[in-house]
Amino acid sequence: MAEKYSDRELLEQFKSEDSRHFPFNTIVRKHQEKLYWHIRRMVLDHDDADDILQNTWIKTWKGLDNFRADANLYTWLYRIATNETITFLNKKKKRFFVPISDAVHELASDFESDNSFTGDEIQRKLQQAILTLPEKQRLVFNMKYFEEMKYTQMSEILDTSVGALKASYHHAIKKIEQKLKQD
Amino acid sequence: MNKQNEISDLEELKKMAPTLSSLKKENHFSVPSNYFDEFPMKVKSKIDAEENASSSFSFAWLFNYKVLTPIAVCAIIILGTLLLNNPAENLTLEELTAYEIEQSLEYYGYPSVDDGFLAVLYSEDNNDSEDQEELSEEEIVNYLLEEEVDVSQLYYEL
Repeated sequence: MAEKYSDRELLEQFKSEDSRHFPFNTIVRKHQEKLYWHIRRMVLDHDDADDILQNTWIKTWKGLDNFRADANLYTWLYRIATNETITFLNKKKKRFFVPISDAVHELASDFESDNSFTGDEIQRKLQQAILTLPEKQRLVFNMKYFEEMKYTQMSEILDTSVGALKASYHHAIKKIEQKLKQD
Repeated sequence: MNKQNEISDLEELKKMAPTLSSLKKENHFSVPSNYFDEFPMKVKSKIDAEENASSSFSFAWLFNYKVLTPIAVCAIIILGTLLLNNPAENLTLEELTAYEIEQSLEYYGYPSVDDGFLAVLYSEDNNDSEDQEELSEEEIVNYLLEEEVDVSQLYYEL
């Protein structure tokens, strides 16, 4: 049902104050899963991902009036979700005065005790390897490897040059490959 | 063209990370059942709750210039009074002249300094750099990538 309307049509419908819940609801249904998994791969915990996703959509609701219809809605939504995720992770570090290395260690130990992960040993090893990457590099890796985004789209979302993204991704896959080969 | 790009990405991955490229890209995180069906309603409830809360009580009146101006003036007067009444407490050691320091020492007496403490201060072995953590090459590279430094330019300059 959500796929019946294009983003442009939904944005046009949203402009009318009397009936904006229907188009907004449709936009949420259309994009919620991709945004959820983008967030979840960074924070790991479902409840955290749920909070961040809700905040993302609330910000979307507030900002849609000023959104330019000729811009790419999906890219804009992704950008909000990414910024909300980074804000959440930074707040988590500051709240408990956690140094960066301990924040990574905390995420890794949260992952170890996470019963919602159903993968086999090698998949678990892959996730642990991903967690050792610096935050932004982890974002780049997830977006390229799991979400198969183009570098040009990633560049718009992360406000980073294509060259820097390629370098970051190449570095990430080399590190992960090394970790996977370790016993 | 898209297909070609996909193939080149796969080829690149196989070349650089054969183990990683052999793994299936599967999602192994579970989600509560009906989560995505119920999520839009959850968001709508939260939006409605926020909009109702903001319409019933507003702090907008506080940002009226007729309210802000007298508050700002009072704050400046209070702050200025506090600062003017305690000039001496704001003095730092750097602001004292050598003469004032000498006078103070003569009046209060020169403090005794432990010889051992002086020896530590002037010791050749007092090397601060031992306390500094050395960065690994990996940490340096990660920092450069995070800050989007052009590594090839650096190499050229060095």
